[in-house]
Amino acid sequence: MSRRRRSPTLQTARPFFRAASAWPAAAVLGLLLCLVVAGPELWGAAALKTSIMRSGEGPSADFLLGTDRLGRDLLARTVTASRLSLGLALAATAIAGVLGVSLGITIAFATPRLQAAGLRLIEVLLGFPGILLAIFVTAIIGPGVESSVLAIGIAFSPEFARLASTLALSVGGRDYIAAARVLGVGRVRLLRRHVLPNIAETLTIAVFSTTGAALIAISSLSFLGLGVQPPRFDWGRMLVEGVESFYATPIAALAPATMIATTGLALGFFGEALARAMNPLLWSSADASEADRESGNAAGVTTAARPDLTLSDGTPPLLDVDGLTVTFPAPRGDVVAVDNIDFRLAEREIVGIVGESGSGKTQTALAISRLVSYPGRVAARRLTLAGRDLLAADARALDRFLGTRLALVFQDPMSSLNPALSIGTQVAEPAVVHQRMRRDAALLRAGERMGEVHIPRPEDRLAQYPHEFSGGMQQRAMIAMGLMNDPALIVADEPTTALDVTIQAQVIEVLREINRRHRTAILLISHNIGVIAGICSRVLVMYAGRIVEDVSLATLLVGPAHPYTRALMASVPDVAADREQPLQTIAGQPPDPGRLPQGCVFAPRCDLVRARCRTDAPPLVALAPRHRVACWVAHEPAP
Amino acid sequence: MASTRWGRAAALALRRAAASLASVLAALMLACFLLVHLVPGDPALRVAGLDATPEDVANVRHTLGLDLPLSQQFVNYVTGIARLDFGKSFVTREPVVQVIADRLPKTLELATAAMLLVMGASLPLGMVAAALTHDDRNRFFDVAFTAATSAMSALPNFLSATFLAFFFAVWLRWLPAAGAIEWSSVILPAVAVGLRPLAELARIVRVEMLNALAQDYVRTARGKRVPQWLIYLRHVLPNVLTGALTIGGLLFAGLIAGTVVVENVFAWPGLGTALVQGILARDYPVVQGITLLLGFAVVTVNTSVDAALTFLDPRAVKR
Amino acid sequence: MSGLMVEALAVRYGSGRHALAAVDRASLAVADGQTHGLVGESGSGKSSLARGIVGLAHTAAGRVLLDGADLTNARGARARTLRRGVQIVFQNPRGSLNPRMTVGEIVAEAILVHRPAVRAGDREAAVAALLELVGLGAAAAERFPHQLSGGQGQRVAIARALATEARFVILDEVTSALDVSVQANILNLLRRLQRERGLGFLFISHDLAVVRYMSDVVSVMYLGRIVETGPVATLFTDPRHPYTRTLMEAVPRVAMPTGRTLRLAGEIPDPRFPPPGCRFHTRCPLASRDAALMARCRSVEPPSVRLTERHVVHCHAAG
Repeated sequence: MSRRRRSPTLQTARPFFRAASAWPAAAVLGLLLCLVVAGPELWGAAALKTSIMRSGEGPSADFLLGTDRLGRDLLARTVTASRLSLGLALAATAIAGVLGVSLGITIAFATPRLQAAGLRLIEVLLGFPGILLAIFVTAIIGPGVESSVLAIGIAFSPEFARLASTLALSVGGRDYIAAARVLGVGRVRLLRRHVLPNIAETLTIAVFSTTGAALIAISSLSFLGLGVQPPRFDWGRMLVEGVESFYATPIAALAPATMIATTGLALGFFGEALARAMNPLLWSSADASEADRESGNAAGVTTAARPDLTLSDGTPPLLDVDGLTVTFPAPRGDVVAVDNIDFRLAEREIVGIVGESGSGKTQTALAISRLVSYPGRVAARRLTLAGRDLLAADARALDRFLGTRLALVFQDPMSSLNPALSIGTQVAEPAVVHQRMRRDAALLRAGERMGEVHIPRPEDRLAQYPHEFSGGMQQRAMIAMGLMNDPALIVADEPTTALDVTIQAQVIEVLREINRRHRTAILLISHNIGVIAGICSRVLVMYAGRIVEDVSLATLLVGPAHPYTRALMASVPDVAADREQPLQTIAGQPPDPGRLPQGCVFAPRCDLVRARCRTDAPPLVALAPRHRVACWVAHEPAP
Repeated sequence: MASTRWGRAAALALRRAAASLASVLAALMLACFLLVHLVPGDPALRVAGLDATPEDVANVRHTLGLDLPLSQQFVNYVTGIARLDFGKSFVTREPVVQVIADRLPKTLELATAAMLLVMGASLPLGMVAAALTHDDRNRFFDVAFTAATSAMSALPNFLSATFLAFFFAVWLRWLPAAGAIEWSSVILPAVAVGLRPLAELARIVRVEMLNALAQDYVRTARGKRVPQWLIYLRHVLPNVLTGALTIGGLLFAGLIAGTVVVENVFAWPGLGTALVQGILARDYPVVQGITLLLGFAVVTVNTSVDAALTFLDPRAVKR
Repeated sequence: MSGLMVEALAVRYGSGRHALAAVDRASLAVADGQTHGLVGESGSGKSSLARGIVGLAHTAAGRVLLDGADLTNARGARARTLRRGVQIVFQNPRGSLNPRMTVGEIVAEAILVHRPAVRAGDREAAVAALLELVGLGAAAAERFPHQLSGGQGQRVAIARALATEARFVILDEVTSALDVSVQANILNLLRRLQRERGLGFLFISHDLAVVRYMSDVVSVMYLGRIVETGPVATLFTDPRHPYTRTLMEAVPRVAMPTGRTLRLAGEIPDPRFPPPGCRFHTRCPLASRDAALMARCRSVEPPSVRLTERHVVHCHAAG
């Protein structure tokens, strides 16, 4: 390990102090620490000095907080009591923590049968309220400081045990633990280096919040007369005495009460800020980050005039997108996910959008469906579906329109279906909501649609729940859901990515049938060129939020024009490709969406780059009929 | 019946509930029984008094059955419980069952009132908070809500009890300060007991709702253009209830603990005051009996909640 | 006898009636410097087989031989030493690298475990060399996993696997989570490493085109059993098992988009209740057309038919 690496303490310190709540919490606790250390030395004597003549006084110059029933200085007493109160709370937490965490980790790594029994035991213990357990223990041992601490410590340990076992079990299932085991890492090192550091975050929060809870619990015990016994006093004991004379001298009770509440709050906030700072995502490494491409114009405004679109036969397009931009505000400047793109879709057309991660293809789909979530912003010169403006302000009227004309299919069908509702309810819903169909009529239609997508025995399946369907059937149910209102356009975002190859083929076949039978247009988004090639007639290639090529499938497979498209096609191992050659790769990395380069987004990685590419962003213009390319080089006349 | 979905779920739920209930009760009874014997010193001596003669002590020991072997005592103890005989108070000599019977209704009244308050207020509060703050909206409200609920959770209930008593009973004279004389006497104690659970549950409901709103199936519903209110009601709420119910059940256990303390502040004639008095007076039969009962109540609620959850979750029904 | 041999390995999860037999008597061999591809859909057991080979999952039967030494029945320190010869790289680099360790520490740990006697300075040099080998600069040692891209993360995982001087590496869907262009980089890297160091790979993937590109020999798994093994060229141009045939037909071919695909009937059965006899019989296009064949397939497990020296099929209709 290099000597240059910062110690873990320093690494945690920087993000810790960036949290807003950390400063006041740290300040309060710091002050408290001073009181605990110095208080009894400075104010100890004054705390014990009684004075009948000055009993029950309010705040004055001599006694800043007044005096209690026996004429003792309340400020002195409150400050002095801090040591015992905090000490007891910390001791109880330490007991709870050590007992609980050891038990929890032991259970997490025990044999399955022991583990089940151990977890059961913890559940049972947890069900028993802590304070009752504490009262029980004090009843046995007798009231006093030792019994209180022991009682509270034992009472809080099941909570730690449960937390530790849950955390250890979840970490234990991670692949890096598996990798370490395969390497032959011993059990001790595994625990020390891999398990404990990764559960420390949550345990930290628990330790701090438990200390606050222990403080309250011990005070409660003292309040009941079971905890600290006179003449010793903690804040809880002070509360007992203060409450008795509450109506005469309220400060006698308010002072310790405020201390308890404030300490608890400070501990809680401190713990949370510390835990957040322990998250490695906030750490940076010792050396400076590698030189990033210099950011120029973040919005990447294209220079040319209105681009020339491919639909030339005069029919109005079904989907008309012009100048679509999706941005997300961020502290260091807006992130542009989709950068001023335009394209059209005709009725019955199946168009694919191909791109890798960060290309903006998913955000494009969301923007068209008006599903971009706050705080993302969508802007466009024109965004219309079947002639209707999708950017219109009236969201309610738009809902009815979109609910009937547009259907959506997402990537992961298991999580896209609500586990708590039956399939029938979910599939029938679009008709019920938007066409005011009665439930039984809608269910009937749902059954029909499900049959159309080849779900066997659909009538029986309406009452089933999503978890009873296989992945392929779930996706087909999603498609059936989309078909309920006879949409004009289906937008499918990676519909087959989570499915097996043979099931993929079935789902693509279903989409093809729907397109044939219902004349529904499809916008299919995928990173899998094979899937795109199986069904689309035209393909849009996206990179870093822009469309770099708009081309027919045939041309894509034979001779695309854009350097990125060419490189992409060449990097896909195809079943017919030459096995002896290494795959073509693209040098470098995709750009950071928050810092797009000036000029062509692909220029930094392009091997045909010219000077102009770095300064001017090429517009997406026609190279040939039905073939648009955004590239200066591609448009140069052949020598 | 066993072939229908609900029938199967119910049978499963009942089986699990019965099993855990039985094991926990056994452990509980053992613990309570051992209470007397774990205490240092001779219980017979304590009962008989410091100035008793050795014969008196021996008599007392025989009457209390303390001269029998431990296992026999345990058997007697368990059979006694089955007959609802919890022994007699060392102090007043009245049957513990009687003490419990006198006090239980009052504690139940308090616990129920507090529970109603908690469930009734925290669910709407949490849901509204989630609706206002999802997707990082309304940052200020987010912070305010968290701070308020944290503060409420950090306040010990005997403290809030005292404050409430001061403001509403002594200062404003709107409500009675102590005892259980009028119907309105239960309000202040119930609020004192319920304040912390309410704050915690509201926070949890909000977190659960925010989690649910981030799920893919909500995106699907929005994609279907289902109106917002229907999304909350039909799509989100069922998924939130299971989590909220679990926590609510656990909070009930804490609620019981809370009644013990608050009863003492308001001189509410329930089990809590009797328990503390019993401990201070070393009246072990009373302590045993009440602890057993409270423990039993807590465990029953927890298992019922577990059973209800199994029932409600469609995924729990196995083939 | 060099090479990695898997003989009739069985992997089972759980026990008794609810046991899931994820892998049922699978055999394959990985030769030095060669790649054995393994394909299958969900429920095929390919990941379970991988885990069984490296000792992460309980093997109920069969053995794994590394250069003749029995890995499965070795115990204690000898087992740990032997097992280092076979390492594994997982699908998701985010999950397989400890988020709290730097890249350098992650790779160094492998060296530390393998050769504890190496001094810290030499270890650092070895780490730097390994990072250079996989195409990352030595400076990458300072970074944390979350600062790496997916491709970089996989390179670290590969470096870690090579740090123990293992000669066989199991690659479990290592490029499935990566972008296409990044995948190309990693595949090129793997092939180069194989050439330079004579490594043997077990390459597991659901992406048939990638498997074809990387492998010399390919095995096809269905529901826990290997149904066909053969040289890559033969398997892709003239598969003999009906499942392999439908799999090949279903692959979207980039250069030759097909209009019709052979639609496979039904869904993959629940791995907990595999069909008797030949597990594929419920969906087999051959068996469904021939009643006599179906009768045999439904009741008798298919024999292993050796078509050529390296091509084996498990099917009643073969030969």
